[in-house]
Amino acid sequence: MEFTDKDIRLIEDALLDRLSGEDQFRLAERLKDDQFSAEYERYKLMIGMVQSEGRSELKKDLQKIDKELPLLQNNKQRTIPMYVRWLVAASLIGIAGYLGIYNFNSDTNLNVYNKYHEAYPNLIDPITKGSESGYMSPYQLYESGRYEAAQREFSVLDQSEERDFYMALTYLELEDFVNAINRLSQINNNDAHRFSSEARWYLALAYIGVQNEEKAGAILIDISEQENSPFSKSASQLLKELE
Amino acid sequence: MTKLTAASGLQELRNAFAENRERAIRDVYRLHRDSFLKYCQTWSSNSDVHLDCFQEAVIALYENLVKGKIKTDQSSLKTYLFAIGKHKVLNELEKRKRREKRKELQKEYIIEESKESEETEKLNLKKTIDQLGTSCKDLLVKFYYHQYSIEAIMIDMDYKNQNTVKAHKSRCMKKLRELMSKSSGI
Repeated sequence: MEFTDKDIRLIEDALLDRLSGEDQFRLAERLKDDQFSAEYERYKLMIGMVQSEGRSELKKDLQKIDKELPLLQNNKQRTIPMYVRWLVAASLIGIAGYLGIYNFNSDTNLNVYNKYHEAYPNLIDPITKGSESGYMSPYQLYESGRYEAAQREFSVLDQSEERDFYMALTYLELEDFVNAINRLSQINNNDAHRFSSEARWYLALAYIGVQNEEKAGAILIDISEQENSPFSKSASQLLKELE
Repeated sequence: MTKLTAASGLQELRNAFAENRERAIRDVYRLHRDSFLKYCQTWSSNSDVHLDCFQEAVIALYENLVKGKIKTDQSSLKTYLFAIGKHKVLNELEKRKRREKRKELQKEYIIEESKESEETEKLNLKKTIDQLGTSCKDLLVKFYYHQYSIEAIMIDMDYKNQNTVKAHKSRCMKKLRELMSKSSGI
């Protein structure tokens, strides 16, 4: 059976993910025809092959770009003796145990964490046109994702509510959950703090990051009950997911 | 001309991509590779998978841009890219864990078998595509993977007019169909 150009275009559009609502209906109708359905499957295979070739060409291009870049400093062989690494690991586990944190690196929790986590915007000193080329304040470093640099700059900045909150966030962004929990807890415990409700939300996320669902759940219940909190809806959704 | 920086957002990426795809992707790669690898080191010790997953994340980003699936209000470019990359690393680690478990259950022969058949299948597909010839392969990849319009392909590949592109494309698909029937009886 010969197919019209219109049929082929319909199949192509479907497989390239660009069908309009009306066309989706038309496709569903046409797929009831066995011959059309077989042709659709053939095209699916052929286009899949071509796309796989395109993907592997793109990967080769990226590998070429990679070769042009200098090696990452941190990827070079580390010279820290193994026993020191073990000692560091053991003390981290000790700290985690003290805080009631178990099961690091839980994939499921990291998935939930990633789903709900979004970096808090820089409300203090946002990057403006041109400012990123010269000196950047710690808040701007934070906004540009340079969290380690931001942390260094925050540590020499005079103490303020803003500094404490954003510094705590840099730990969270670097997934240093233990330090993030310590700092966010202090802000959360101070109801008069300008960022206490924001800190509460990120504290819950940090607890999820270390799989302490009990503590995360308690905080989320608290947030979900606060109608005025900008995080109450997300907290309710997240709670359902944790259940 | 949109110049991407490490702090660029998704809207800037979309603009840069519309101006010059290759340059935009190259810039994304150069701007974010090192920080992604460092970021991975903070939560995963399997550094051998990080680079590969970063490349896969850039490919996914590219494909989403091509399909117009990126909403500019979603998050920053870095957050978006790192979330994809992290997901890929976690998936890869999970896959490896499963593979290890299977090994422990002393079913290595099944793994070897499936690995082998996967590789053979890939080789066969590659062989079929290569038999198409360079001009057909280029045209089809541009149309079906990079989703260039017929007009863009006409300009890019120096065709006389759009009808010639369409005719060539349909000949190439016919040839691919024949090659596939030969190799797998479809």
